[in-house]
Amino acid sequence: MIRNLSKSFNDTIVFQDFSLDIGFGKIYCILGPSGCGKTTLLRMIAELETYDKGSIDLRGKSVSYIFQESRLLPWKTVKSNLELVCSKKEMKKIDEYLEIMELKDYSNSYPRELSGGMKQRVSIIRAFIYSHDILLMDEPFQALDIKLKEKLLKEVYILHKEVNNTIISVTHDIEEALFLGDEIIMLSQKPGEIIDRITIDIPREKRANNKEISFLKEKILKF
Amino acid sequence: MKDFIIRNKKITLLISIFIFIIIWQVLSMLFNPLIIPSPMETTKTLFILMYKREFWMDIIISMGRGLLGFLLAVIIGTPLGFFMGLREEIETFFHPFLVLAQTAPTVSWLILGWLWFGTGDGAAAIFIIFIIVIPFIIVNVMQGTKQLDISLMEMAKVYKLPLGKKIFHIYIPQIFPYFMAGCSIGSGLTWKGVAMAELLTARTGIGAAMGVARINLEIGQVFVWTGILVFLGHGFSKLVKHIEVTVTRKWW
Repeated sequence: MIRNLSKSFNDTIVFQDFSLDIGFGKIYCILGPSGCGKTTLLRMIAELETYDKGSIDLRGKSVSYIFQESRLLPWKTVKSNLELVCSKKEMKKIDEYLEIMELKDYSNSYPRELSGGMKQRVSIIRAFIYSHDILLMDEPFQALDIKLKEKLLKEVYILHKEVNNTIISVTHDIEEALFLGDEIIMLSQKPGEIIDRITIDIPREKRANNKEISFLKEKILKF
Repeated sequence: MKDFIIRNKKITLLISIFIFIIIWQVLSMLFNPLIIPSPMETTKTLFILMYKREFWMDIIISMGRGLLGFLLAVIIGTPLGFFMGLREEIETFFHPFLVLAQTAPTVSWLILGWLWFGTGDGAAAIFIIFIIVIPFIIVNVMQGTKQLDISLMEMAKVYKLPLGKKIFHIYIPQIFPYFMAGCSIGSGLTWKGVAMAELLTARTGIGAAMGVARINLEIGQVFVWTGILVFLGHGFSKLVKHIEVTVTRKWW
């Protein structure tokens, strides 16, 4: 999917001849240290950033995106924010998604009336309700507390099962990657290279306090 | 508490108007009525004028010219300011014209308007109002466009929002407060411009009527027309403010 990609900012080389293949319908977690180019990679996939060389071929698949911040329109209610990205057919699902995310009572609230976690939940609904094949997630839970983060990760997984999309999530949080990912792709410092790909076959409900997961965590920490 | 403050504000305003009338009355007693007519005399002149058809016609004509000049400035200035804010090369291209409109003295435009459009139908007055107001609309809309939140534009790009949705739901709500600030300044200048332009370039309208009153030494009429211009300017500013508050409350 990504072939021989090169990207630099002024004199800093972020990626050089970087290639990555992914299958569809799975959750990929890209794990790497801060500043290794994870966000840049997602932005290039979403065409928000140009690259110097190489190619990104999504084979006609459409993309949705959960940003680090909620990026909701402050002058629109929760429901209007969601309606903005929906086709008429998808609008019917808004209430259902609000129900899943426990936001039904807030559909007519403005973003300023919501907490940080609630706003991020709205942005998750927006990303899922928008018809897409690949969902890009750029550390959307980093500013949230652990409990809320766990809850949202579970909700993301439920929604993923429902829509059967491909998720590429970037994070520097090992726990998050170990919970969410079907596969963990580990990136090095700049210029970003894949240093390992770890497939996790354990079902999500059995990942808590699992020996194999603890072993994988140890392994990742050694890098 | 809020009611008390509002009531207090109204009382202060009434006291201020009352003191203004007292000072006016005292000054009219100190000077010749040809220089300062009393408030009572001015009111009498107002009532005399109100019975004349031309009085209302002059007000309607001036209002029409003021609104037309203002609307032309808004219609042309808004997209111009938007594209100047969006693309640097467009801003650079139009910059000299903007500087010219901003810095050339109004009196130069008055003379040019008079020479280009002549006197009579008020085209010169409309042109002058347009040229006075348009820089404020352009600069404010341009500023608003430059302040557009890039993160929201990226969101719109990712979700492939069509241009119409982008303009209506993302651009306009962000630019609107800046646009209204430009309109607010422009609305104040419109009525000053109307009177000044009509005085020198038109045969009808408030400014022209003030010119006739000056020649006939009808100082009371000058006072009446000044009061009407203040009323028009204040009313128009209030209307602009009302639109701003109503729409902003809906969006923000």
